[in-house]
Amino acid sequence: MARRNTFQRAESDEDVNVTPLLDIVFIMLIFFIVTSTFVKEPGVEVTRPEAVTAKERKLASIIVAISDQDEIWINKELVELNEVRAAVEQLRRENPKGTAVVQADAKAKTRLLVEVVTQIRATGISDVAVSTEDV
Amino acid sequence: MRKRATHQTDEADVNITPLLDIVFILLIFFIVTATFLREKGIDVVTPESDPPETPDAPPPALLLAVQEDGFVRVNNVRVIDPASVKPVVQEFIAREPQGVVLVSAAPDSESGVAVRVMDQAQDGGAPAVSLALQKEE
Repeated sequence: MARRNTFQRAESDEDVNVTPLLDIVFIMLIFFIVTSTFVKEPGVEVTRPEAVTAKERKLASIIVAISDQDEIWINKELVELNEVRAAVEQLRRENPKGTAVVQADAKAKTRLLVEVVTQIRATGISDVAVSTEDV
Repeated sequence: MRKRATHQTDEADVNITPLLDIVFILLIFFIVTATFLREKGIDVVTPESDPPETPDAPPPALLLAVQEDGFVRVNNVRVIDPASVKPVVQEFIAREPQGVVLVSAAPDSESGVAVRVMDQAQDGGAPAVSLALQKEE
């Protein structure tokens, strides 16, 4: 009789303890919230030039692409050269700590690359890089 | 009556199932939208962004002019292939450790060549490489 009583008590709290699961889920949630940077991708695929001295760009959130047709793309939109500054300033308001990366196609004209870099720098971003690929 | 009261205290612990649902949905949303993009690149320094140089002591400079045809003219003297920029820069840095390297690209040259020349110059040990456009004639 006494044995049966203990058996019943064990059965009464048989529902799974979800507290550790909840802990882990919350930690993962906080990790993903903290690490997520909503990068606005330019929307064109470019052939990057190869480089050996390239360094990893941290916090790259402002991305400007120059296609091989000499078109400038920011945030999946085609922009003119004189509109680059306004578009970059808008991206910068959303992510003030981010640095800028120019994805220039290897076949794009150098004139565009230099002028885009000059315009990005005019918005006050000092850290501008050209995206490259490992050799 | 007494039986009902005991029944209520039995279920007094908070039901966390809706909370768990919302947390899972948030978690899935952040996992899906997380973009861990890894960009590698080289710094571009344009001469306009430099502080004004002191006119009395201009540092020795190596001028690498990227031509429209993809070749590189060194100090307006000889024309070399972009692949052989590195030894030229190494030789220049060995001669002038404080020297600066200027990459001056023709506006209509391919940017890949200019980036490659800058990369080679940095690989050759140049401390400061800046990129400028050639004046159009």
